[in-house]
Amino acid sequence: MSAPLLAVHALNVSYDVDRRKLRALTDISFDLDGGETLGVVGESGCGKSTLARAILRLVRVASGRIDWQGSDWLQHDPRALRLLRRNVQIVFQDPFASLDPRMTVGAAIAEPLEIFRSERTLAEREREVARTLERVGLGAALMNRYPHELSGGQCQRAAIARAIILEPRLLVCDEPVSALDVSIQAQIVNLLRELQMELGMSMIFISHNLAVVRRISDRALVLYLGRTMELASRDALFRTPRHPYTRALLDSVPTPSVGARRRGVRLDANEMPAPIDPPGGCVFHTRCPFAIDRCRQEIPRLEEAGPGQRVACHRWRDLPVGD
Amino acid sequence: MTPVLHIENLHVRFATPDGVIEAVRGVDFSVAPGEFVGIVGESGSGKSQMLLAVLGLLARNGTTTGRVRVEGVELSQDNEDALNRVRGARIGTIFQDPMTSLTPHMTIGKQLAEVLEVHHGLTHAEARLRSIAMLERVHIGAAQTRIDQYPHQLSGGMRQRVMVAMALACGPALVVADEPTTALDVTIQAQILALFRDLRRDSQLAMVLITHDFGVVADVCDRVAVMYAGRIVEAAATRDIFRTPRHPYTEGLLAAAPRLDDEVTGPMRTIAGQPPSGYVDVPGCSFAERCPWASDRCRRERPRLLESGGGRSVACHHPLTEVRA
Repeated sequence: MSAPLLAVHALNVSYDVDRRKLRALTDISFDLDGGETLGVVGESGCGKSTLARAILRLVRVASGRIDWQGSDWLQHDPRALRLLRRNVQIVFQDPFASLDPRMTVGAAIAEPLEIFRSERTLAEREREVARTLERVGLGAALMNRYPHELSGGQCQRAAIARAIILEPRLLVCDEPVSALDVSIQAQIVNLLRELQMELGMSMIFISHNLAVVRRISDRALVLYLGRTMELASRDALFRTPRHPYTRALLDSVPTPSVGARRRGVRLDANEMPAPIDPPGGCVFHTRCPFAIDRCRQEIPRLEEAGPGQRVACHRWRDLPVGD
Repeated sequence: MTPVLHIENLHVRFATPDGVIEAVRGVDFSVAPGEFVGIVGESGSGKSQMLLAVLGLLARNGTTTGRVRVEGVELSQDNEDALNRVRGARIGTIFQDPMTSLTPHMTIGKQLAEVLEVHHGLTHAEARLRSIAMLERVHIGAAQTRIDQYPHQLSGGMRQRVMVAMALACGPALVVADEPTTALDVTIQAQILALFRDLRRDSQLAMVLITHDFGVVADVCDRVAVMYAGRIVEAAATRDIFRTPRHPYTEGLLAAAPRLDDEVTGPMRTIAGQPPSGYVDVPGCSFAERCPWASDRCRRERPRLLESGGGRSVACHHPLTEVRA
């Protein structure tokens, strides 16, 4: 079997906070194949944005490996970093913040070309920008506009245009539709899927919106306080979630219909502990309705719970599946 | 029965350097005692400005016309006394971001007590006792200790509970909640919505809940009004809106929001185009340019919000029948 496009192995990231170590990510491992989409879900402070930044080498990785097509990315020399920058792009949540307000949309989208395709003539680059604008559903006429003249949805399309103009192999999307209205959100999700098919790129799609992740992902990773709770194929995760946290998350999503069915995993009324002081044992035990003594003492390992489904819970075998 | 809130032909306009924006374009709306009503719409639909106008909290360049009555008492911008008496005492408010609604340098106890002292003339000691009871009512554990903490010492969910307690402190007839759970994580949102369901059960309290999320409405509201481009385009009992949306915008919005129980194959349903700008008004239906069913008549003549029986109303020349929906 050929090596996956991206293999993250035992990744640890920590931040220094008031002379203490905040472990933002602990022991994260997963593979990503070409053309595949991995959804990453979890609540604020779970480490999902840190994961995006670590993959792009925007934060320092404490330990672990990130292999890009079989070679360790974190050891790469500056030239290889350039390769990374060309092959991996990111789309952020707030499109207004990710575009320079003083640069026209065209100039912003052309910037990656200036860096990586400097051999091309200005006219060639301009044609490329126009084509990319069309590709993301914006008219080439928008090239001379400034970000403040665009709507939120248009701005996000421009940010996507900038991210895909080099035809990256991997697109990391960090909450790309969270700031958008519902009717625009669906347009952007469809656009990302179309682009993915056209370009054959892989995606890491980070979102707190489980329903959106379900629509776009082949597999999904559930994080809590920087640790993997569950990693499973889309169908396994959404049909037969095994981790109590996954189940509680799914159960918390209000359904737009009357008399909606509930799975019945309710969290105790307390909230996520501060990431700087994570609980010992299973990090989720303070909120878990099924926690036993073992959960308070021993960190559960990620184990196989079914085909394409791995779960970090001491009790997953004892818990009823689904309802 | 006198409605808790009655709005007639409300318009809200903002003067800007680029011209006048009309955020609310003639809304009629009423809330009965004890009723929980959701207002759903996207950014710019006017849902928040409508309620800010009721509360007299518009930005300085905003003006309103129309009538607003709270429990039968007419509010107007000239009558600031009536407005102040009603606001706080009869209407409680909850905003999206509890961190900006609470004063950072005052303990939550002090902020709660202030409301009670101003509106009910309670002594300091009485107000403190009442405040503790209020915190307990919104399920804040260890209320005795929490009351002496500052907002930054509380989690986001806890702060929003404090906001709910403050909104309820004076025993209002109506609580206005503007996207109260949007800034919260989904597990915390579920807790706040459970709290709202408790409130709905145990009193004569009415609530207007503004949200972009139909799921939130399904969980707590009796009735829903859908707003688009400054107008209500459809209003109905929550159950009816979900089962048989009549306005194409309502139907489109429901279909565009991904759910955990829908089909995952194929592209997501979208609503083409974008909402119109607030600067110009079209002669016909504001949704016509995005509507798959729009006819010439829709572009010419504005549909009025008409009762269609069963407590439903819809502003559409070609409302969806149950078959099509």
